[in-house]
Amino acid sequence: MPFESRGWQDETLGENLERAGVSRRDFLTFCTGLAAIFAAGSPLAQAVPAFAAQPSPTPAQIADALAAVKKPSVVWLQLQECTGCMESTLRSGGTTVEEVVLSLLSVNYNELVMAAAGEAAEKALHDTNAEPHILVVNGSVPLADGGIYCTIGGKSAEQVLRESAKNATAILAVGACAVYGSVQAARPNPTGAVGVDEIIRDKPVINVAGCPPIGEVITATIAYLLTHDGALPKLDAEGRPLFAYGQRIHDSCPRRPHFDAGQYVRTFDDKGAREGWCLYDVGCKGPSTFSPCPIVQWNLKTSWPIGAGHPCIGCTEKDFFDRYTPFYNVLPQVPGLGIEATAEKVGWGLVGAVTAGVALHAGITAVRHAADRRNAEAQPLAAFGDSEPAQRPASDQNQSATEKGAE
Amino acid sequence: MTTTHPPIQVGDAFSVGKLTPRQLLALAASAEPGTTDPVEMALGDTLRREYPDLQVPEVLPGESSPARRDRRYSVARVRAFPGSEGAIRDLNVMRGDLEAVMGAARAPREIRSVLRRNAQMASMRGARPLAVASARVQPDGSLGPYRMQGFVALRTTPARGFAEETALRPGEWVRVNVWSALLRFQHWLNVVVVFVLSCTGYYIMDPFFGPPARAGEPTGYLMGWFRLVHFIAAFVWLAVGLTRVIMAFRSRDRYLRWPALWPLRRKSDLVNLGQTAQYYLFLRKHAPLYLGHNPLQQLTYTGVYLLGAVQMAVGFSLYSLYHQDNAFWALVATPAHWVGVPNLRLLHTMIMFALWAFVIAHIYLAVRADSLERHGGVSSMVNGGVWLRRGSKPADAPVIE
Repeated sequence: MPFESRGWQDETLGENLERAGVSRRDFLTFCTGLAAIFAAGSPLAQAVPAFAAQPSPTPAQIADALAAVKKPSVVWLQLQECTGCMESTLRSGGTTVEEVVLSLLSVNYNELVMAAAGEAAEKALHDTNAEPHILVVNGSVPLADGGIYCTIGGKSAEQVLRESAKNATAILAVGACAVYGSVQAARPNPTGAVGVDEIIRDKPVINVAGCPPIGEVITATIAYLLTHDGALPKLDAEGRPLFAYGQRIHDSCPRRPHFDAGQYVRTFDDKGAREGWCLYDVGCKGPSTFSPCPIVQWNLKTSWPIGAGHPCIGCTEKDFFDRYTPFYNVLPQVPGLGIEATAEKVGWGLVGAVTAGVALHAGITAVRHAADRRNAEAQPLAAFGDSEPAQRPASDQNQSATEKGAE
Repeated sequence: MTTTHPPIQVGDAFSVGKLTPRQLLALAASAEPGTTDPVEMALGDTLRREYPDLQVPEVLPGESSPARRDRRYSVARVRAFPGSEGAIRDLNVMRGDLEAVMGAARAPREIRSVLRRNAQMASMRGARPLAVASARVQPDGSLGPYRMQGFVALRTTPARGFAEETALRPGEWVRVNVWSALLRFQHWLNVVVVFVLSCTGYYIMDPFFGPPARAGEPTGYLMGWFRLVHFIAAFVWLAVGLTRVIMAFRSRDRYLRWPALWPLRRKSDLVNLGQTAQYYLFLRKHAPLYLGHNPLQQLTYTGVYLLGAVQMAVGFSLYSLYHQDNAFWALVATPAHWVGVPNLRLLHTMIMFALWAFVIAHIYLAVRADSLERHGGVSSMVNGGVWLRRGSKPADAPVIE
């Protein structure tokens, strides 16, 4: 869509978008998309006083609310991370309404996109920190060894984060690193990386999970804050917005019918793989992973991992690198029993060991029992003729009378 | 003969002739006055103690001939023996090794077979059968043919506990109803449900087969059915578990109530637990006698109850993931957030295998105990009753009258 960014000149976002040449139709289309995302999780009525009368906001309501937004300041920190989240946010298929919204936010500080450098950049950060602002954080906070593993402008990541969080009106932890530390926090976590909500405990932190999260989910979360007077969306137990993370990938996966039919990809080059069958048996973590990937998809609905034929690795879930591996097995390994200790091997091994134990026990029982029987007869008794009587009865000579019948 | 023997115990008399067991015992006990043979003394003592109305048949001095190595039975003349049909006769009695006596006496094949089988049973219990045959002394003084009368079980090894003592007297068993109908019903419902859950659950863990690709044909609903059956069986199992918990607090049956789940209350329980473990490790000949579960057994079952409860909770938690917009199901899903869904599924799988391992050991030990102790433990889970010897003293019940 053609538009001309002239920065924030008028008071509200709506006026600025109009000046930039974004048509009302395009804006409403964008808001319709946001409404769809908000509705994807749960009814918002109870969470959002502004829309309390209705089960969920209509696109027109979102458009009105969003258009009336005044220029908010944003500090967008990039700490210990790979910049993938910014890539996801910014490079979502050319210039989009999302980018307009973001560029029209006053992103006063962001290492990737800001023009300023050195002292000027530090001043911009310092000035914005002094006033109310939205704080978006990418990347984890390494705490080991005094935080030396990530420093910006001579300050540790923890220090940078604490300073920016002080006056923040809302804090978004965007990406698996900011949520809990992601790959660098996987065992043994050499840099002591932790997520934002382990540092900032006095304010709610919205966790936009994923490695990276879907760009639209990031913008939708920011839009939610802008349109709801800073009220938080309804969150799940891990602080993720339920509108995006309320459902498992598995439950809206286009390959789900193959799962239910028992049609599984067994290897990545078999017929099932070509037919687009379910990837469960090659380790897909869709059944364990909460994310709107199958619905929103990536890069303007170009594709998404399962659509491209790769199992989900569960990147929106906490500690997925520790808990969701091996990526190509249905179940994790049994801990503490070596690298090849699959659940089935260990389980059948246990059953086999018990069976062998039972067989051994039964064998010993039989042997002992036989020995008992022999022992019972081992005691020699004269009455059975086991031994000669110690002394012949005096009446021996008369025995013929009694023995006649037997002999 | 010096009496360095351990005392000889006299067990049941097994009669194949017309004699009653007590008559057979009396016949086997016939001895010269003042005999020093330990078997004759033990038989005489038993007869006098248990059937004081019966006389120990007397053998006149000089009218008996002891067993020898080349003729493994003794022969004696018994005067005025009150035999079958009240007839008082003189008899020649032949006692000794079963094969030797059967070799010397007249016995049809089926009698031999019955005798051998029952003698084998007795010897399995550590007893030794003293075979008895008798021959009538005809009025003319000649001797009729020897006929097999049966045997008397004798134990020559020391008594080491209840089980062998009882086994010596299979005639005196009492049936005691122990397991309530509800418990038995739950047991077998558990068996069915766990079997169904295992089969379907194994497929959900590892869908190792599936329909082939056929163009233009319906694909079916294989995994869908497995999951449906798994869920239905799971809810049945939850209901069983819930009922069991309610029974643990509401039932009047002491074997169902919750205190039964923890069998270690007194010091003697601990001792019995150790002795039972030693028994299973072949370090002891006999385990303490229990009417219900012994402490080791009960601890195992309590552990299985716990395992089942964890399994239900984990399964319920996994099931709840589908409904995360509902506060109840979100609460049920809490364990998934502690360890992650895959670890929960791993736990669910490993508990299944652990239950399989338990089932194998459980069936083995049940059959083993029933075979060795002959208390009818296996059938007690069908009809509720176990068999105990009259007069036995279980650790967890009054003396069996």
